[in-house]
Amino acid sequence: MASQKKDYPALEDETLVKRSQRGDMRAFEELVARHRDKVYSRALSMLRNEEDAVDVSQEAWVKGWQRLKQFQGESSFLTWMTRIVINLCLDQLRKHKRQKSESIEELEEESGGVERQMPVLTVNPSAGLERGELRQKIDEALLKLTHEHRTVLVLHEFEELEYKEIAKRMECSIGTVMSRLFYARRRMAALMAFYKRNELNQ
Amino acid sequence: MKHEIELKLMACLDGELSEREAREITVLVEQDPQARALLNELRQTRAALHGQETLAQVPESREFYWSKIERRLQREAATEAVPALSWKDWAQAWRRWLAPVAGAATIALLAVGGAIWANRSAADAAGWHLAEVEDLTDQAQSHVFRAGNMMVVWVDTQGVRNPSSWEPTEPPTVE
Repeated sequence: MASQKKDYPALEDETLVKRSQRGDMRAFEELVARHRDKVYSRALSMLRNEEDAVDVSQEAWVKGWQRLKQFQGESSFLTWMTRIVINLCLDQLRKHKRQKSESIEELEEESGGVERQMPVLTVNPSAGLERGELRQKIDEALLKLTHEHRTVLVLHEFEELEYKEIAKRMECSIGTVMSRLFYARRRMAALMAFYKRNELNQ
Repeated sequence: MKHEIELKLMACLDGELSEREAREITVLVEQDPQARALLNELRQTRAALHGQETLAQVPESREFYWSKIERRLQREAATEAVPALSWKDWAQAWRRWLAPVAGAATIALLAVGGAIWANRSAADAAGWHLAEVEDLTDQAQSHVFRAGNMMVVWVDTQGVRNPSSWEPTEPPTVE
């Protein structure tokens, strides 16, 4: 048994999942160790708060263990876990929104606010940036977005979900998803162009 | 440009339009430089964002992170071990409780009934009953007649049976 424990890091996800489904918690621990950063990163992308992201990612692993028998292997285990953490983040954001009173920012969210008046950018904001620099700029810009705009961007650009699937998860119409995605992209373009201009001026 | 057209430009870029709509947008983009510029901006932003999610590291050690998950799993398992009772569970619990109580009540009833029956049989045998005796003496009228060493007592009970017609009757004449 002791030698089997040492073997866990060498096992494929599929084998670890099967062992976990039979109640082997050590196998599940190995899955957590292997994918915890990715699950946490997705929570952080959506929530933008380290503490909340740790909490929600841990809750996702608890749910993952409890629902493990439902996992049929139609997608990868990581994709399945990512969907769980996304749903938990959406629940948290909904709770957060209910607690918050309606702000001007939220009213502008559907109508586009300043992005509606923004001139079309002709220069590529990401041109000439290293991969690391680009990621840093994207991270900074994502922080400036509303929860709704950030969520729709994460689900579309990172999770690669279709409009219909995003609408289902965010509990809104496809039209709302399209509008949010459009203004989120325009705002990201404007923010990245702004950071680039600032850098050139320094 | 209408917002609807802006959204269609984006949907075309994301491959979310039907073939017919996509053809219409392609024609528009060819003819309208503003639509072309907007499509270009959206394309560049999309390309810049695609797959650029930062892989952050959990700010906790592997052991500490896992220990918190493990504790939560143990807590949840303990809670699951004492599940909340559904109405079916309640009904079963009641049935379990009611069965012995109903049995005990039946035995008690039989015992009391048996005692009464036995008591009654004994009373019959002894010639007395546990029956209420109506005492009508306070409502009856009596008359006493004496003649030498003979005494006649007349008790009138007719009025008792029918109090509304209770009228004094004439005592009989003793000759």
